Amino acid sequence: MTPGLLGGIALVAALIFSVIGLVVILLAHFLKDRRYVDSAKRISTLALLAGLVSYGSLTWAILINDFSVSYVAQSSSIENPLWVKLVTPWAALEGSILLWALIQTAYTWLVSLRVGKSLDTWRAPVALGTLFAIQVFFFALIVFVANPFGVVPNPPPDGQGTNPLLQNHWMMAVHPVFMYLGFVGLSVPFAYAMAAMVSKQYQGWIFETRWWTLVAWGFLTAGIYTGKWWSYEILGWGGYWAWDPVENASLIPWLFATAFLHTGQVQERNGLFKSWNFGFITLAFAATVFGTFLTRSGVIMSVHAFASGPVGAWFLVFLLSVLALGLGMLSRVSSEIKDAGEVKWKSREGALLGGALLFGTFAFVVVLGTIWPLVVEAFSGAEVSIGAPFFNQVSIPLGILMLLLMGIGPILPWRNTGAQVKRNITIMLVALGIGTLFGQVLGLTIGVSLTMGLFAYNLAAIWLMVSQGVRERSSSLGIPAGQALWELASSHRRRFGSHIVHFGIALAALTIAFSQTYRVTEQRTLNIGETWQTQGMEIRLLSVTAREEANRFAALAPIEVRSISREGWGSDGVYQTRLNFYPQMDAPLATPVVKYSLYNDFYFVLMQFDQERGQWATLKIIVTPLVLWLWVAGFIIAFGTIYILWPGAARVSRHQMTPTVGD
Amino acid sequence: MKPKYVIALALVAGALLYLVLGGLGQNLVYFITPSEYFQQADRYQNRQVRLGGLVKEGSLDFSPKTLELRFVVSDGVKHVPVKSSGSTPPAMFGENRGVVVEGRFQGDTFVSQNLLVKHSETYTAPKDGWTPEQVRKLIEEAN
Repeated sequence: MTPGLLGGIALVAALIFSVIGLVVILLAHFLKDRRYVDSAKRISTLALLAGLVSYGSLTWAILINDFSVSYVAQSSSIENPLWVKLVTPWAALEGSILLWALIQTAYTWLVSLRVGKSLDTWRAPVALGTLFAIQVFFFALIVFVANPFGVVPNPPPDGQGTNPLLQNHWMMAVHPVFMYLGFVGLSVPFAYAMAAMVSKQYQGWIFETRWWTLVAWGFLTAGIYTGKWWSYEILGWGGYWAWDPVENASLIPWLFATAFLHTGQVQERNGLFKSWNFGFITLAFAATVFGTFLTRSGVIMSVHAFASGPVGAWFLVFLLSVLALGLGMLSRVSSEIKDAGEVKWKSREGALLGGALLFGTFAFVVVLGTIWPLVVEAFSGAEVSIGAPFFNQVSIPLGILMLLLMGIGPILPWRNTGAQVKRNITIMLVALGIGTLFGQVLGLTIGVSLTMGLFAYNLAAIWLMVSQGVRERSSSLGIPAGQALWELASSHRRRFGSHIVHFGIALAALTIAFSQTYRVTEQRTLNIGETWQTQGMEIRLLSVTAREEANRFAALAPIEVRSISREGWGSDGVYQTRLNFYPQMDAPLATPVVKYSLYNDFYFVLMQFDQERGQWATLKIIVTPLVLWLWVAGFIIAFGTIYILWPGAARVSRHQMTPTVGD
Repeated sequence: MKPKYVIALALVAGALLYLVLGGLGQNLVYFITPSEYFQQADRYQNRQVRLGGLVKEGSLDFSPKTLELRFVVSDGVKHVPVKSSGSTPPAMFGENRGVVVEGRFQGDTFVSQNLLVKHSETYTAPKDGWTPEQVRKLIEEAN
């Protein structure tokens, strides 16, 4: 059997299993018979296996260069190195949707394992049914609209090759996977929310899905981060975020999911904000579909756009169904889930709601900015785009408000404020003032100074919360402070993890302010042997050569860099700037050389070279402060998320522990 | 909710709305062709626009030493001189090829800040006798 045939059969099998699963689980719901639930569980395993076989066949076809399979002929090549072949399944449209569907079957299967445990048999049919329905959509899309296993009657000797942007950096191998794990992961809390609304049990789902939501959020964060990193190290423009529609598409669900993570805690604690939670999770999941619609439909021009095709229209239909279903259910049950008590703004609940509203607002602004060109075009016919200045202009005040709330929120106690809180907030505000002043003394811009102040303010908040908790515990139990810290950190994983994540966010904000404000770009053409003094560096062009490589052709221009003043510290070394020429692309791809240092980050790009005699080369240098720390902040956020999720944390009951400050 | 909170919230919401709607209006970047520019030249003075067209044959002048790039963008009917300095033309850039430049008009010269050559892999050069509409379509498809 050929891989193409096996993959195609497995694909159809996965679709059939998904449809059967959906039918069976609907029977379970309407006939109230739990035997159907058990069958659906088994069917979800079969669907997962079929998905795995299908995905495996695609990988197999790519590995053995079977160009009779349409996807392989279009997106792979004999010359590709092994790692590129292994990531080729998600290098183009059809394969990436197959990976998406496979991940969906895995999530459905994982949820089916929870049936009878945390997911009771009354809610299981709706939760599983929602997931099966999503799965049916994806597999139907692959089978009928975007099938990777199309048969090529006369297989070409070699394929058209993989998108060179993907081959140019290993980060691209992980970025899409993280993205999909995050996007698809949000379907689980959405499914639980639907089940909660149908069964009218509005409270339990929030506990059961907090793990799922955080996992999805963590993957989404990692996906956005690897995307930024890739963009920085590959695209050669020295930035990591351009407010491109596709970047926005990943940010919107992240913002809604973040809002949900915050309001969800309030519902866990005292049952408030039920409708906010249903709303936010519906929007978060819908936003993942919206993002896919933007990327795959070609309605909005973007650097990431996949070839436009009929897929886009189906995603639009899917998006509208998700929104109609989620928000429709919400309006049906809204009278039953009105909040019983009132929320004081000056309390933890108030701050969490305020924060969530900011995230929600931010998300709506990003949606608006992303689709505004379509609106203008529809009404006036003029073709327009929305520049990055719009998003920067709006995100700066929103970001400042978020950083302010991020410090205050965790320090406020539930329900009301107290005397110690006022003292703490005074200390934090003093830190804010000192940080800002310090920035001004250093001669930084007002925006960057304010960010420094906010960083100090958040640091002070975390320090106050941790130190007061430790002091209380060590004095009441008579143990040393180190032991008290250790015990607190291991028993209150969620709280300490959130401190770590918040610290990472504050650090990221600081690095974004610095790097966006103080980036310097320069270009110059150098002859071989010529030196160029700029930005505290002395740059010398050593040679210009060409080299043939397996899957590409490269032009190399090694340079020697020596730092001559403080600005150039850390830039010393010999660097191979290069342009890669791929046969499937007319244009060469520059591979920037990035030299990180503790303060400035040096970025060297070969722009042009003397193609006739190899006498000169045009170089671009970009010097950006603190980019290294942006990536460090990413690792801190990931660490904080893993810290909360690490198994064992859930087993410690909250009630057995002594209360700590603000907890 | 106490009245003072309502007022505070309304203020914040109002400021945001002002920021968002004002920002949307100011930051609209129109995409135009040379013919469209000459129809309403005043309207596009001193604001950010994207000018799309083909690089006119024989108009390209680039010096790698000074990094000064000059060319003429044409849609087959009208022509606009473009000046760009301090950067290297992207690799796909060339005469008779589609280009989108982002920048501002200074008089009737377009000063480019950014050359966007987002190209389709299947590019075909326009033929003689094409109408501006066809050229425009070609440019849009090439982006």
